[in-house]
Amino acid sequence: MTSHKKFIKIAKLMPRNNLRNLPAIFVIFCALSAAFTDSAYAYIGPGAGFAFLSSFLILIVTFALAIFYLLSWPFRYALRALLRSGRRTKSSVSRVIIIGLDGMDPKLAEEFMRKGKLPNFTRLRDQGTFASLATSYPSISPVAWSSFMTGVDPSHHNIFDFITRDPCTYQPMLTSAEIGKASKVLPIGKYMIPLGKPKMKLLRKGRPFWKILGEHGIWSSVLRVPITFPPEKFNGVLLSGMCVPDLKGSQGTFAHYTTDATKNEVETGGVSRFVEIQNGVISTLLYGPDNSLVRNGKEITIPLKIKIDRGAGKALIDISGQRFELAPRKYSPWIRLAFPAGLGIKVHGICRFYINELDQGFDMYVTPINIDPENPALPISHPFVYSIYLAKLQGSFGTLGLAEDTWALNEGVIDEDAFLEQAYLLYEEREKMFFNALEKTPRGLCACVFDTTDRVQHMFFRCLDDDHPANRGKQTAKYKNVIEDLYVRMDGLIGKALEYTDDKTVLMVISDHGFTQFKRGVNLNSWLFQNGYLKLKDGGNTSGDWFENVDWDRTQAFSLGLAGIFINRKGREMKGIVEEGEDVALLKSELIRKLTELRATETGDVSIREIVDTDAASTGPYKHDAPDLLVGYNAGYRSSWTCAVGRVTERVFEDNTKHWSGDHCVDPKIVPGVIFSNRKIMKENPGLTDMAPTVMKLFGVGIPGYMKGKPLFDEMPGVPKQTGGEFGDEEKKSARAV
Amino acid sequence: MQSFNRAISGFFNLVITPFKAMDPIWSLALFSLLIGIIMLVIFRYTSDQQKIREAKSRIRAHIFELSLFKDEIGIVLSAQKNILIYNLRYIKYALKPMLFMMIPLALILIQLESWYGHRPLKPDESAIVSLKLRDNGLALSDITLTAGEGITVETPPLRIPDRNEIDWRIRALENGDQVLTFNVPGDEIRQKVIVSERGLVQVSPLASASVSGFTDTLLNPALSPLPGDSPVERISIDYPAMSIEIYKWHVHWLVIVLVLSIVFGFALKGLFGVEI
Repeated sequence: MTSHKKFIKIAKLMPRNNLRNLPAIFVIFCALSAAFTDSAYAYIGPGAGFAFLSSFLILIVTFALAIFYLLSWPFRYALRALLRSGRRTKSSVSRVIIIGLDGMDPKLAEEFMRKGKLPNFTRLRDQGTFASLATSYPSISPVAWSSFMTGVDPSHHNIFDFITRDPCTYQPMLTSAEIGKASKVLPIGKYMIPLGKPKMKLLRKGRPFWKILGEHGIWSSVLRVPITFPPEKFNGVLLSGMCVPDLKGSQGTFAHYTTDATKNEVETGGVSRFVEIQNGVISTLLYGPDNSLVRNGKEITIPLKIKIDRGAGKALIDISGQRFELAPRKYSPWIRLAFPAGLGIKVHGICRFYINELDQGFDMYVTPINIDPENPALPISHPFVYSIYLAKLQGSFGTLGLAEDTWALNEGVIDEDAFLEQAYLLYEEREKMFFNALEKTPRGLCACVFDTTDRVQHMFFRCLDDDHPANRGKQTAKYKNVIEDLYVRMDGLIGKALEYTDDKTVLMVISDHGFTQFKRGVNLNSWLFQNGYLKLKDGGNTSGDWFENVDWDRTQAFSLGLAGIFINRKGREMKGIVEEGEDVALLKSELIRKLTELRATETGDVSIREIVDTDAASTGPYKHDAPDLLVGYNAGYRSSWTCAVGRVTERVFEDNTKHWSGDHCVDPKIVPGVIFSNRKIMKENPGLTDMAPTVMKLFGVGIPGYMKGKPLFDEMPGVPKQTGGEFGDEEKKSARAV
Repeated sequence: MQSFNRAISGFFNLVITPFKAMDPIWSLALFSLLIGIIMLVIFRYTSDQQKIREAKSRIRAHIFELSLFKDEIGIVLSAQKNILIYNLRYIKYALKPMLFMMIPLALILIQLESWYGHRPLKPDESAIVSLKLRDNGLALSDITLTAGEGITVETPPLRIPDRNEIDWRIRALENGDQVLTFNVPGDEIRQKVIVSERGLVQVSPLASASVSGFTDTLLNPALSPLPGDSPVERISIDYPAMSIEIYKWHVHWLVIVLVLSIVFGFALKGLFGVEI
């Protein structure tokens, strides 16, 4: 009998039998509530009543769903087999696990293994493989991971750097994704009602190999691989990684609240706000995204009230309808925020709070406002509900692409300990996700990239070199072992992952690049200016960020980002002056010759090992949009902070004194990545572009002819050799070049 | 107990007074709203909101799991198992607030039952009147019933010695508070019979009872108390059950209160910051 019928029956009985039976009915209902949850709601009103009612409905609906999925499985399986786009030979494995440890360095790994610190990596090395993995050119994470997933070089996938220049304006633009407003809006008063989804476009070209696997019926779980935002559809689940923006649309903008007016200046990565304590309370605002729902919308704000209780050594924070206590030097949990945009629409985000100082004045850091995975303002996963699922399962988690706030540490808003704590909190979230994905992927591909290795090495590499300029005024001895501890922690991760492997599982641990010191920055724009290739207006010697004051009508070459130099080509750039053909070729060869002779003024070191002419070295269709010259810096050097943002300074060389003291934007031969595997690889000199063909071969899927790499493994032990033609012939014949 | 009952009844009377001439659905809607709010507040402060939130999140996660990994039968079954486990936890967390809700809700429902459970007799409508004697040696044949002007006794007394009870059938003749007089040796008990064609009136099928009946007093707010030494234990009038008409459907008031209070509770839970 349904709960409803039971209730009606009891209700009908009541008037006739009088209310003298009520106590007995209460007792019966208590008993029923334990035994038959659906019967209890008649007397428990909207609270528990709704709970019981919904519990019962959930059970019924989910049971029906489960039965449906079970019964329909053979039909769905048959349908998928019919719809598969290509044939595949028998898989030699049931599961491939790829753990990406961004920036793991082979030399450091070898050193720590020699010291006996990495038993699990050592086990992998002894059992299978440990080798350097050739990275991309340039050796930058978005470039390298794009090559990993597509199996092609940057001229085919079109990612050469984090940013590039807009050829119309010379202003920076993201290389990975384009996010715009909805194409049509309905103006009603001050409101601009979008009549569609905002424009979102993934700018990376080429197809990730998991998409091809999916077309052959192979399931993939892909977590936090860079340049997967916005997520593409395929047969599997995916959570986007590096380049997912924060709620403000930036790559991470933290907030800093301080009563110290002298600490009120932040240059990059965040905003500092001066606050005052009045009667033990700070009343201020938390700034969210620009309001696109209203004409010329400004940042949406929500009130932030902080009640300081110095006696108890904590603060009471009131925000977005939530109130929580926070002690100094501890991160709050993720706090869910709802920014009211108007018309009842709210934009949801999450952030953490961290109080630096409570006793003498007040100083608080707030992480960039991440897209709320439980209520995403933009799609950050495929399917859309996957991020919601993860958040419901394990709680809120950081979604920002570059979630570890390196700029907050660079700017001195948080210290090393706070940065490390934040990085490892994020790591723990990802570890949980990864092991959940492993459990949910008994067959197919499970790939997860951990950024922690990259971010921590960036910020603590100085501690490995006593002479690093960034050590000035900073604690070094205390953090001497941070990187070793990081590798040890990753070793623990590998140990746990190994428990999920069997004879039919291939585990590969890879990194996109290695690491080296970043001691001095080279400002190519300054050098180009000093050598007459870049001109400034009004006779100036320096410019502001983003080429402020650059005279484009007389400029031949410029540098933006970390990858290299753009020629101001006529017909390509808005105000291009260098003619295509011989003029461009001559200019490039002149720049290559002069820059490879460039030596650091103080040390006399060679700062640039080589410069690659992109056009000559690449074959892909997107090479013409790339930096014309890719600069391979020597170890210890990199494009300077000021050069990366298009500034001309007085000096070409400048010491790097920031916490961001290690880097990999150098000659890729200096910073190869690493590959560990539980199987022996047969190919010599493996590279990142080999990964896609390797996985496809393991699953018996033909390798498209346009892929540059080769499979790393030969025949799998115990798997019979396939007959009937060379592996991948069908696919090669039908493969379409990008 | 009498004072307590009077206080609560007074409050309900006050709230209902503006609605007496209206369709009962409106006053029921108001009470449902009040019940919704009261229960939300009780739920908010007596439940572990964090644990409820977590249990609900996990249930939803495993529901998503069913569709995300629908091709893996093992995962589907495991998700089903987890949904059951977290559902039971969810119910466990809802039990404590349910216990806290029972007492105030019982009092409210009792009051509502006295207003909406039964309606007065209409003119020309009959009802059974019962009188039950105490075990004090009085003979059932010693008791007679006399009706006032607006009411008539239709049948001779039906004596049921086993139950020590006498029943009569009465018929209402005119609107108004009519009177029945029970002649008991050594006593005369006057019992009001309400005859009305419109409006909400608080009536109790258990019309009169000895004050020693605590449960009866609690469960029948409209009860007239009999003296403690009265030979009569109780007098009942079988008022007709009230049903409320909604689009030609006759619905019991409890169904309306249940549905509306759940709807209001659900609608207002965000406003009150309650996780149900």
